[in-house]
Amino acid sequence: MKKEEILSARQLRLLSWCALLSPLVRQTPLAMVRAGGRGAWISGLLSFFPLLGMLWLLRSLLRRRTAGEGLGEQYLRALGTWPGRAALLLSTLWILFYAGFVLRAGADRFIATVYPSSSSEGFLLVMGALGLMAGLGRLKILGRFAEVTAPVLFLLFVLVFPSVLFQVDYASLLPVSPREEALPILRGVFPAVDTVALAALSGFAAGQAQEGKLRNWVWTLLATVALMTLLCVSTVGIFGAALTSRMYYPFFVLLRNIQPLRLLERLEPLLIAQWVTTDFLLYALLLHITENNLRVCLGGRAPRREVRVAAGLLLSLLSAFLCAPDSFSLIRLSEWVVPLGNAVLLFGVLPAVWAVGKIRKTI
Amino acid sequence: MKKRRFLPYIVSLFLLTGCGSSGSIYSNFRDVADLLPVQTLGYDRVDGKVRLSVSSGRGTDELPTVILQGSGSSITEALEMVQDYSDWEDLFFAHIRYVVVGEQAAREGLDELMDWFERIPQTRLDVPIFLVEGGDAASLVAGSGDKHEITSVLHSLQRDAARRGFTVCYTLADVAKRLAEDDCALCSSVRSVEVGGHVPTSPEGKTALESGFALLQDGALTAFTGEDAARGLCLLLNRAGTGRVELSDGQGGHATVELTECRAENRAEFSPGGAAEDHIFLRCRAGIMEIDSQLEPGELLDTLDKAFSDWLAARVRGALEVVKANGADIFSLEEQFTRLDAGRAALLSFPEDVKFFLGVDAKVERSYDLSAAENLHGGEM
Repeated sequence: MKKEEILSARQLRLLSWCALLSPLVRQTPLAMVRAGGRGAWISGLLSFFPLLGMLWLLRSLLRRRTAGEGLGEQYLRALGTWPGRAALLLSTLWILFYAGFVLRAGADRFIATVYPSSSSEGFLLVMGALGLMAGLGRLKILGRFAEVTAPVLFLLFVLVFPSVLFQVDYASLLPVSPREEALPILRGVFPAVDTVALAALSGFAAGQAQEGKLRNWVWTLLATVALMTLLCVSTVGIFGAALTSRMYYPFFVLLRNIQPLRLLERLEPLLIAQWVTTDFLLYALLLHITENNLRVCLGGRAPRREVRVAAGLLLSLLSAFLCAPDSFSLIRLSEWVVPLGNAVLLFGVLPAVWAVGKIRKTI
Repeated sequence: MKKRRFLPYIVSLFLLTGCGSSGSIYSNFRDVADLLPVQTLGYDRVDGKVRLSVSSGRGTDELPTVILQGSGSSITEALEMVQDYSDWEDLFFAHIRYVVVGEQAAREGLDELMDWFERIPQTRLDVPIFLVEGGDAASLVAGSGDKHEITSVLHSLQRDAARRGFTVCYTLADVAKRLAEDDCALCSSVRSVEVGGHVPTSPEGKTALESGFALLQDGALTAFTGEDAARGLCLLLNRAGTGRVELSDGQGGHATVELTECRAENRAEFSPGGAAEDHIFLRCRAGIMEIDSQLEPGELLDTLDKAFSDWLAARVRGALEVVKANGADIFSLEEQFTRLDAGRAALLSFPEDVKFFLGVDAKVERSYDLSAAENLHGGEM
């Protein structure tokens, strides 16, 4: 691979973080508050430790790779050629389904929060077209785009949180009873970990990036955990745990009700529209990952890159159009099927690949 | 290859159709001049139907106040009727500043109204809500006319609440949050009164005066607290602000004091016998704003301290009686006692089964006039 096509470690890190914001704002704080109640903010803090474990697992999986290799190649190295290809193909099919779900969920979010009388087809096709353009291009360009987007998203939070934190009713958050709320808090850790661990998928693109320092990834993880905690503090502090659990997008409802600097009102369409960027980055990243995985799976018989990208696009669009006939089905997918599927991949398949690779001493 | 790469760009241009059924990129465009921003929304229920009244806010010479009403079987249908009678293209609800609810509608339940506000992306939840005691919203919204336009009246009331203390303007978010958590909530209440001679330059029309709180349970109004109990609730909820208190010296004289400090703490516990007890400790300090008394200085301060303490205790007891009589767990006592002992708490009803013990530490600690202070203390400071 040419030098100009290799992402820097920083670009990969920022790309992962920006892409993660798409599911993050959907799953947290809603799923965390539904599971963890008023102590969901503690669930956010506690999730740091299992996520650190996930980070360690990923680096361990990639430790003995050669240049140009990512997680996909480690599947083959750990499990053997044919079992590895089969496992990688199954993982890739799930990633494609998830990419379609990302498209569909992003469209639904836009409809629910800003454009209530719209239908999703237009959003799906436009995002699909954008994803195709990004998929045909180099991953490095996506990384550069993430470098530009990340500060914008960061500024958005800087604009929102100071306005919100002064209005928080801390009696809604404290005190927390260890006896009564320990179990719900631990339950709230799962959606937090399940969501943030999705960043591990960027390991499939590691072959196209430089290796970064562990310290920087840990800092990024800490920042993400802090963000999740602030999201929970903000929404539960203002709406309470019971009301937050009834909203589909509590953070966006919060955006409807803030007045930054007591000067600006009704900023939510502008702020919510920034999440289109995160959807695009996540979808484009997933397309790149599936294209790369298909190359590894099919080896010498792999078709041209454009064909692989197009196949990924078509399959993900098929998933987007068919995965949920209506908004209620989408919600059920979002609450059960997708978290479960991601958990199987991230906490089942990846650790299994690692374990087998360690036993066989191939990774 | 390069030409083919531009194909998605060209295709996506056709897909940038905006978000309307006409397919035009401008389908969602609305001229600002054609929008009528609704600033106050009035909600009533009459004969099982929803009646909405809207006011566009204080008018100008070019744009007078617009007040409209409409009825329907639902909020949406009522708004369509209002829209039908509007000269403007579009009623715009994104900047609603106040919601007024009539008593009858509140007694039947606020679930429909709350649901509409929570569901519709246009509306906000940080909008103050007022219940009209003894009246309906439409009369207040329409009766205020443009001389005492309802949005301006409520805005003034909201500012007075912040400045004056002893009043809290609860928003829809506050009410929704408390109803979701404890099945009960407080809401600001107002009375509709004729302006009359209070504003000699424009005596016609109605205005709204604050009248304490309304108690909501299971989404519906159950009682109005009255102003005295409302003050007690503000004290207990640490929302008294810089409230002013009129005290009597018992000899025909009076003093007005202003709160400088007010802190209420409570300690929930189970007695050895298993009874649920809530020990409330109220610490208040005040300064003299106005005084007219013939008492000697030393005696006056002691008298004021006692009168202040008695006043606070009476308001707090009144508030607790209202809360107990209506079975409204405004103070989240069930949660506090459940945290102590879930088993015992499950057998009790809150707040009816709770015994309250009140301790008051009240002192008039300051006079803002040095010479009066000398008089009060009978000598130099």
